[in-house]
Amino acid sequence: MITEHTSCKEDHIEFTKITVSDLIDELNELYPNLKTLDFQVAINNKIVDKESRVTEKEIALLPPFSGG
Amino acid sequence: MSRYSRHIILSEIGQHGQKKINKAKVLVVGAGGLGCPVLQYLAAAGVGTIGIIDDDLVEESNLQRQVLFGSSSLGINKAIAAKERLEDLNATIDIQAYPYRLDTSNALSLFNDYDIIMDGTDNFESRYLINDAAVLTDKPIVYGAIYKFEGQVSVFNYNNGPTYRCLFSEAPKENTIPNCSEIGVLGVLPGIIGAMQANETLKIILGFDHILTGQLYCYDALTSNAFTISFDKNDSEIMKVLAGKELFGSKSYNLSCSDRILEISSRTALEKPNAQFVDIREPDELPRLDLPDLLEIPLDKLEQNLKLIPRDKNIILICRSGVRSKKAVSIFHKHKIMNCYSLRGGAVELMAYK
Repeated sequence: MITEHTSCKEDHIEFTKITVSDLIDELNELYPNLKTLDFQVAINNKIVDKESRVTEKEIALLPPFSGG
Repeated sequence: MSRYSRHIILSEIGQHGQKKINKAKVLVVGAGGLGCPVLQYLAAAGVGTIGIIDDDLVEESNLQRQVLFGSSSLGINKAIAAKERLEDLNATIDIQAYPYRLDTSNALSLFNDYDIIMDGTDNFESRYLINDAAVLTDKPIVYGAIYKFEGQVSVFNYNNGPTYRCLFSEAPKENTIPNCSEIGVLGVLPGIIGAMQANETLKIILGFDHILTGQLYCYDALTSNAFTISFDKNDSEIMKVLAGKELFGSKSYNLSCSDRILEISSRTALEKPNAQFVDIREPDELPRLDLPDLLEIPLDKLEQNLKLIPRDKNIILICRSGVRSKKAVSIFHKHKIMNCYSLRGGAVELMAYK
């Protein structure tokens, strides 16, 4: 679902700020369509809150699905 | 017990494990894409009591993935059609069909009668309702959800573990996440995800380790990639739900984004018993319809004329192409008239069908 808003499955970005919420701001600038989507952020395969520090390199964005 | 011999010869299950399965009670919410495979495997495994709750009717577009149903099930309530099929699969178990929608008035008493709740619903409203009712009744939820080619599986509220709200605390913003009927879904995907839900359910019943609690399994059918993300319990989310116990019955889970408009095909509509057709087009729109006891109330006059609508009938709303009639269903829902359907394709398709 994220890929439809970013047109890419993964991307490498230089990130110099600190928290997850900084990262989301940066991603929203890179991919304006992301703003319309709700998602959770995982660092190293663990969901983290928005105040967490971005320390690791691998970040995943997870939207909720409703379909059944 | 030759029926279960392949379970019994597994040393991890044996007679003892099979007895646990035969005593288990599982409530399956939603007999759709996810519910069908779950039901099929749980019934085959011999789960002693299976409840099925769904207010929806089988439509032709369901048959691409809802494998319990066939052409002979069209127009029949899904819970009832599924029960019929499963009784043929395994007549030794007890199957209860609840042909209505799960809501705050029935959720707690239903959940109390079962050990495990299987979430196979197709909207956020039901998913948050299931989460909160399961927290209040202390039942584990086996969760599955799908989107186009991607699926998610998890187990919530298991042994005081994290809940759905610990993962996604609130429903997403309006209209940001489309559902299967709006965007499509690969037919086999709910089969894969539903079979995984059935597996987690059996693992819980059998007391196995490595239950998918505190973890979200994510699968991508296009790349065959899968990964598991872990998440923590959020006590404040759980406390909020527990604190709302007294108000649960009056709580509204009706999110505007998931006010579920039931659509009905011309064929199903014409065969529907106790139907009341309502034409909501303007008086000058053609062709006029020739249907028995037809009510003609234009959309903009609907709210003033609700008293004309017989509450004990299945209301089928008709416009030209099936768009305005969805708005009409929303208006009815707002006034708590829930037994209403939007005629797909509207008068145009109905005339072509007749």
